[in-house]
Amino acid sequence: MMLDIYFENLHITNLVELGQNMYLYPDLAYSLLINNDFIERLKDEEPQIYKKFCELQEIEDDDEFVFKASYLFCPYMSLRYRGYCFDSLSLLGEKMIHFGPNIDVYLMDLLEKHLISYVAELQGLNTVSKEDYVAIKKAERTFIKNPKKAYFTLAFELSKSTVLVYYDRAYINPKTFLEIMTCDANITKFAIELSENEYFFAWLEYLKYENHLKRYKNLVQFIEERENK
Amino acid sequence: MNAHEKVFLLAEIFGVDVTRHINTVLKEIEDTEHYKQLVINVEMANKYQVPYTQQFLKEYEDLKINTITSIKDALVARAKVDYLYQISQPKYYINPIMFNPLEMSTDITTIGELPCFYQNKEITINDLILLDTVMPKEKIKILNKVVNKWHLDAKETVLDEINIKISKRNPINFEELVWYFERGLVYPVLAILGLLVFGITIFSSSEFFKEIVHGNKMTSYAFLIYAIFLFVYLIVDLIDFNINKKYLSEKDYCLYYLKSHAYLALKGLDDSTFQIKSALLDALKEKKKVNTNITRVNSLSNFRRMILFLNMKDSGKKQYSETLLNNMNIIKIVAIVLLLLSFFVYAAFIAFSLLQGGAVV
Repeated sequence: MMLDIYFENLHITNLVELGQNMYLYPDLAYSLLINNDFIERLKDEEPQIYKKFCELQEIEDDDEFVFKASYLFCPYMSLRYRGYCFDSLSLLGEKMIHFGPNIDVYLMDLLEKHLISYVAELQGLNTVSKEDYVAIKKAERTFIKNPKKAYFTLAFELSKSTVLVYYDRAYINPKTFLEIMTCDANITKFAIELSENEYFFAWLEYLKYENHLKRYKNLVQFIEERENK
Repeated sequence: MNAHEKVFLLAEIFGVDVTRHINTVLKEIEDTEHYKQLVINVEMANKYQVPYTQQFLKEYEDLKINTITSIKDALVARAKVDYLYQISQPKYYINPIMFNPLEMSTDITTIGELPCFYQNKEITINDLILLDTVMPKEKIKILNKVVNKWHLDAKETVLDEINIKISKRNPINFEELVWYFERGLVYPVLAILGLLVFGITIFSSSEFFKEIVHGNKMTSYAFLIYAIFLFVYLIVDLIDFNINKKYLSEKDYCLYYLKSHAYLALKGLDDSTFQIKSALLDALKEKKKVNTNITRVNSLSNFRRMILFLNMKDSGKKQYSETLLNNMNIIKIVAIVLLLLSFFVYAAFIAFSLLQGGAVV
């Protein structure tokens, strides 16, 4: 289907180009997707795609609708969503860590709406390693109970990074990190964040410090139980 | 446990040095009212030995605040202090059957103020009785459980102990062996040696009495010194023996009393239990507070004190020995050393004079 559309300065001439560039202009793309002329043309010229498009129209979330529509028009492309484009899942993981301990809402969307696994399944599992796919599915299940934990666990699993980037500063091991966090300048801020700091805990788990963490959590529980008795 | 402490705990687990924060926690423990009160409660509980107190006394001993070197131990200790303070409150181990008001600082005076547990919640007996939402049968069940526990504790703490005390043989301990050794062997040997030397002296020299009176010979001095220290030793030992005897006689008296009045303890236990149950039943019937004073049903109070006194044997003895008996022992040792020295000097002179032809030097 030939198109003659401008997303700002970007000239789009066919559906594949449209699919490839919708992530850059999600709002404009959405406006196009709900345009009756566009839908009519799609119905007439690409009946197979239109059939699938109709199924996507039932999606309530606009971003998810645009995302899935983009992969309908161009199924084999890298992961693209709301301005982000990742050539590999490890780059996605690195980006997620880069913002730590804060969470990027769009990257969170990818997990929350199961969009990463959607693409993996759409493109065939051969494009994603089995290990990554298992990690993605596990994170999607964890997300229901603990979104932050799921997000950061997946970030480390995908990036395979053992470095913690904390407010733009990199730390290579927990001892060094905690030495800096326990100094008078940082302790208050870190202490307030600690109980909900899933980023730090996900890092420890990824570094296989589960026993240390378990011991810490048991001690905290024991002490607090005694204090509250 | 505040947020900072959680960070320090985690940091310590990962090998970060957080020792400078330990003292803050320890000082906080020592400054808390709970800790101060816990120390008082433990002191009382030590005197008031019932099965319930053993549990938290053991946990208190394990605290060892002065030896703590990690933030983990400091935080656990602080949490335990709060917990131990809660469970060490006298109201939990006051047993009306053997309660002694002089030993315990508590505001509780009547049976109704003591606690019981209804649906795992603590409540005073008075409140339970006045509670409209609980059936009388349920109340009786709860109160019976409480009274039976007091009965059982009193039986274990007093009656069983009396049985042990009055039925066991008196084993001979080390101190008694020393006592028998001194009086059965040392004294006769000293006396025989003295008499022997004295006899030899008399028969070997007719001038002996004259020499003692005039005091102009070495043998006479040595003999006199020997006699003086023998005398000093015997006097000091006599005083020592009397003190021991006095102390032991108090114990003997208690034991004798327990033997002859054991039936009273048995009767007292049953009477007290009956009185408490009656008071509780009356209060239940009339739905009013139980105002029976604890001191009216504490018939085993004196028996328990006697058992405590009998069990304090070692520490009581130690107290004596640390003061007067210790001094006595020093005097005794000095006296016996000088006594033996003077005896050997005296014997040496006698032997020398005999070798010289029978005349005293």
